[in-house]
Amino acid sequence: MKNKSWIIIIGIVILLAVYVVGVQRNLVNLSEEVNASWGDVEIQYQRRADLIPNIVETVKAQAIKEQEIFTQIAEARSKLAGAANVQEKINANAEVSSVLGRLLAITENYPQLKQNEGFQDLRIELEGTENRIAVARKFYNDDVKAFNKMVKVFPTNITAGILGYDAFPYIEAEAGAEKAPDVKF
Amino acid sequence: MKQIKRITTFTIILLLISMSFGMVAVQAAEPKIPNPTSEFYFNDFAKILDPSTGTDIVSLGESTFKATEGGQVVFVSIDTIGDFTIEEYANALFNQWKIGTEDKGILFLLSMQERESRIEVGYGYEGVLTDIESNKLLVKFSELNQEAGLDAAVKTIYQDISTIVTGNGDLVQYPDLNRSEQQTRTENNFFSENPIMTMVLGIIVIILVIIDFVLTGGRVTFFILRMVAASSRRGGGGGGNYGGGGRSGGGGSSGRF
Repeated sequence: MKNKSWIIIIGIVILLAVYVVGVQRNLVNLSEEVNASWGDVEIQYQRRADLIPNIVETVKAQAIKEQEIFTQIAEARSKLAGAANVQEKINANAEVSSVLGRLLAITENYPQLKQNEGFQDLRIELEGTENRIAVARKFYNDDVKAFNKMVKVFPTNITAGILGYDAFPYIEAEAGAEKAPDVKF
Repeated sequence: MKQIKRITTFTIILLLISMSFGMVAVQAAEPKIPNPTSEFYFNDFAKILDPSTGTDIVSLGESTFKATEGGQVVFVSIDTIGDFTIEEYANALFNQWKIGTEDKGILFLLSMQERESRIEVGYGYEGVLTDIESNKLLVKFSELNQEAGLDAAVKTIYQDISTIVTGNGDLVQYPDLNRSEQQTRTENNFFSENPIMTMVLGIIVIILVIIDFVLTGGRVTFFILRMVAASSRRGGGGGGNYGGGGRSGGGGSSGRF
């Protein structure tokens, strides 16, 4: 009888170990996926950031009245350059989104820009990039959701806590700003 | 007494393990995508085109596939995109059908109720058919539709796309990364989708492990554990009628017609 209960205790310990190893494996895999999809998001953020100088230049050439928008763009870009971690980058890019949205709204008042082929091409590029950001963001958020569940929900949160895993931030879609600007003809 | 204790311990462990499997779940709302037709290149779900257009497109699609060594240009018409944007719908359809080999795929999508169009470009063709070019094609499509009707417009644009992808042999990939890792993403977790199956499986596994420990001292269990540790990631895609495994990250352009 004594022998049997030892077997059971060892069995339980091993089962627990198997469980912890399983959780740890899942955490590693899922966080790798989050990292990979975050890389994709960053590529698209960068692609958009690269478009801004051209857009600003084209709009500036039209001598628009709302000059303060250019200061705001410059501020948003410097925040973007200064962003160090994921959360800061997400915030900085949210600001870029909203300031770009404002710029595009302003350009609506200038019919000469609508006829400017270079500017229209830039708008199409921007639209395409915003859409790529939306796709990358969706994949990223899906991966984050899977990972964060393990980190936050009982009982895996215990193992995750002991192993020192933290939740990743989501990228929230802002009303209007993140949606691709309409360039429909 | 001992019997009861044992049963409670097992129940607790069983609960822990089955819960750990059932964790990852709940996906964001995705559009419901129909399965591709057996022709794959031509999917006139909205029934707006002449069957002869379909025949032409399918044969052009097949020759394009051969000429580009795996490139797939797919036409789809649907009644409505529902509550989704045309961009969301197109991307979901593209990735579900896995259009194109090595991501060399292009989807030409029309949603009739909204009168919206989209050309969705896979990663492999982003350098071949740029957003600006896609946009020009859609403008042309809209004009042609007014002048010559849907059949002619669809056929012309399909032909244009085919010309563009066969005319340029060299591909410039953007984003220039090795994306093969992400293939696991859509297949995701078997366990998350079948909580009951997971429970049953968990119970079976636990029983087997206990039997193993009682009989052999856990040899089989350790062997399996080592196997699992060695095998690591799941790979490969599944399903899809004729899709070559292609993926799209939202390249292309949208328009109205």
